[in-house]
Amino acid sequence: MAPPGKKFLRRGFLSCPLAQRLSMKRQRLDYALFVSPALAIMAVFFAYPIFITVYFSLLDYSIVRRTKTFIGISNYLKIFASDVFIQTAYNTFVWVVISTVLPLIIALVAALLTYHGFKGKRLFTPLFSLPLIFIPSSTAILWALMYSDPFGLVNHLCGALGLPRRIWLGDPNTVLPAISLTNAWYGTPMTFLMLLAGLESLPLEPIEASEVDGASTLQKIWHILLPMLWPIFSVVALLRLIDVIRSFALIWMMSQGGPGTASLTLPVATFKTSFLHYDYGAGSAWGIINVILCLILSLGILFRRREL
Amino acid sequence: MFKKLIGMALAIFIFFVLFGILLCSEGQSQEISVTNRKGWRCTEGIKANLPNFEKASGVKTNWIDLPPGEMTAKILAELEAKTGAFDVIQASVEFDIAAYYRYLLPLDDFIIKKWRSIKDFKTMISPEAAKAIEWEGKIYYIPFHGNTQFLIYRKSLFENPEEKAAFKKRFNYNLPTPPKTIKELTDVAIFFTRPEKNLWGLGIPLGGKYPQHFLEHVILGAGIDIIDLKTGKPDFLKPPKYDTTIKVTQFLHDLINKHKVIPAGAKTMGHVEMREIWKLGQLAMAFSWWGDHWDKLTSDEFAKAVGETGSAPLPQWPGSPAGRSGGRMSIWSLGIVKPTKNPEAAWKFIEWFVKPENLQTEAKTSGAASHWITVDKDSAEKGLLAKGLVAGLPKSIPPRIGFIKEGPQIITAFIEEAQAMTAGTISPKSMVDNLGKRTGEILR
Repeated sequence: MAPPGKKFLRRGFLSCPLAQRLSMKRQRLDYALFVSPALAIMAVFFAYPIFITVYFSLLDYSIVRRTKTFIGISNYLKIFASDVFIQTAYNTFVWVVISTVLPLIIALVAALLTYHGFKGKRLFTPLFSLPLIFIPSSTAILWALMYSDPFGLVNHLCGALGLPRRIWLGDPNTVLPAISLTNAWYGTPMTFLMLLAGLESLPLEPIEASEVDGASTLQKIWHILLPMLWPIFSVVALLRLIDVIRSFALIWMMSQGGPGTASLTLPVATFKTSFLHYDYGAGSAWGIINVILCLILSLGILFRRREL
Repeated sequence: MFKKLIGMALAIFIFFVLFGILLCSEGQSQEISVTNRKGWRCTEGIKANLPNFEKASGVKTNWIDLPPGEMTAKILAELEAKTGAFDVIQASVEFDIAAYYRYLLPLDDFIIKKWRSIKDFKTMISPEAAKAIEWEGKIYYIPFHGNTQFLIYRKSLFENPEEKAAFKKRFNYNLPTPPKTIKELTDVAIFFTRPEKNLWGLGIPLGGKYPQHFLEHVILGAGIDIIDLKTGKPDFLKPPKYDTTIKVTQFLHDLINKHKVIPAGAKTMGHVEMREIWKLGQLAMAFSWWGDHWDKLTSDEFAKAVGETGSAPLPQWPGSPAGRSGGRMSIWSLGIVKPTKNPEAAWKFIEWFVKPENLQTEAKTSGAASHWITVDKDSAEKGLLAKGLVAGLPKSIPPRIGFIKEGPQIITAFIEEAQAMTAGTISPKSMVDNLGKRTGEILR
């Protein structure tokens, strides 16, 4: 049976006796009252900062130059016209692709393996999830040390394998892939746990039916598990994507966006402009660009959920 | 029902009265919050003396450690938002005065009360510090820390007869101890570079902002400012200075890429990492902010590892003005935040902080100078300061970029361009041209 539409409800509401209508009205008021504290908190902690950042982004607001004048969208135009924006957009793209795709592939393989079960599965899951206990700053210090020369483990391994030693974080060609790899290491366990939870929540009947029909493990994965997991996988991927776009600590602590602007991403550019140039206006504009990007992806998640 | 309401109103009234009393009593207590660079060796000794100050003055002091990279940003954000989070701030005056001064209390009255007159006070501190702490005729800071970059060298290597003979044979003059010209510095660095033995001629930290620190030191030493304060235009773009700036940049580029005298790993190192490489005995000379580490470098632990460490200012760039040994002086100072509730307590703290015994503690725990002439003289006589610092600091100058409002943007541009040049992305000439272009755009 189709759910009652808005028109039907309105007609129903009007055709009710007055007492009943008043009771329904009061009920609605009660709901609004219940929701209002949460709405107030949302307004203070979410809506206001966004509103104020949008407002700042339309100002020439520098605490050093002592300016706070309305300049419309000039900050945005200046950013879009600058060479730094092109470099930053490219870096953000590389950063996002490596830091998202790599953990997704590794986590998916690990989750499928764990789902199927193997000897040592109980030990594997907590060990694989170990990076979760680190905070981003300690991860950054740990990996910066691993990449360093002459102390770093990575160069020792390269030496042992007969590969040339590199200054991973000092070379514009390797700095971003190196930090992205760190981010992938850091982000894989959470992706793995979410995918594993998704796999374990799938209905068993189709899988058992495919086993009865004699499907091989690969066929089972390709034709049954992956299609069933796809809605969950796409949400996990989008969540990971947003997390990567927003992430700041790793890059800031490992390279500060350098050398030059070789690892400058949107959040790092936001921080640098706001807190190193003390230009809150342009910094807010960088921040809003980042928020818009995240918003587009969040809408992707919402649409995805609606489809589900 | 009515009784209940009365009871509730009474309870609320009592709560507010008690809360008000509590607030008032807090307002009357002498409590201040002071900022500090987290993990800074120079102030660790002073921090340890803090209970003595609290006991003697009755001023409760919240010592707030802020990460160095975020310190200025955090302080400025709090000041702009008027949160009242800090009463006394620590700042690197040579960079931050243009940003900070309007949030700070002029200290002239306090200074006159304590040291009779501003003139008398200024004679007690180094001339460059006296200039840097002043903005539009008023004094906003009291200095407590002075430093400049200088050269250290391994005496055992330089005094080794075999090394001396080998150097004379190769370069036709005696091994200079320490090098006194840029050519000598380059020759000595080339001579001691032996990658097969894990030994490099010259260690210069090149990670983060350090390439800019090196370049600015040599450029300022050569009599070139980034900004000419008189005209407000880039000084390094003027014809003869432009060529010199490119040559200085080329010099660093050659040390890294042509002569390969600097260990490759230096590109991601700061001075702490460089100090550890020094301890491993992998460097013959090293240039950095050794005033923050002199106690370590001269400790038994280091002496056992690499022998005695000598120090000297970096040689002057050819044709530099007389009396300059290099630039890039740092002047860390204390200022009082304007809306502080306790200006008297804040001043008491500053008075205590810059007492000679505290400033000498700083020299003991790190090897840094203070910009207070008699204290530094005494510390130098006691051997607490490196010869390189004692000789180099009075001949240094603070960077002038901090004295203009566009300074922070120009410094960031300089750091980015210097990093790109060090990483090999752009040539030395491109670095100078890019910096000129970006500086022009920022100033416009």
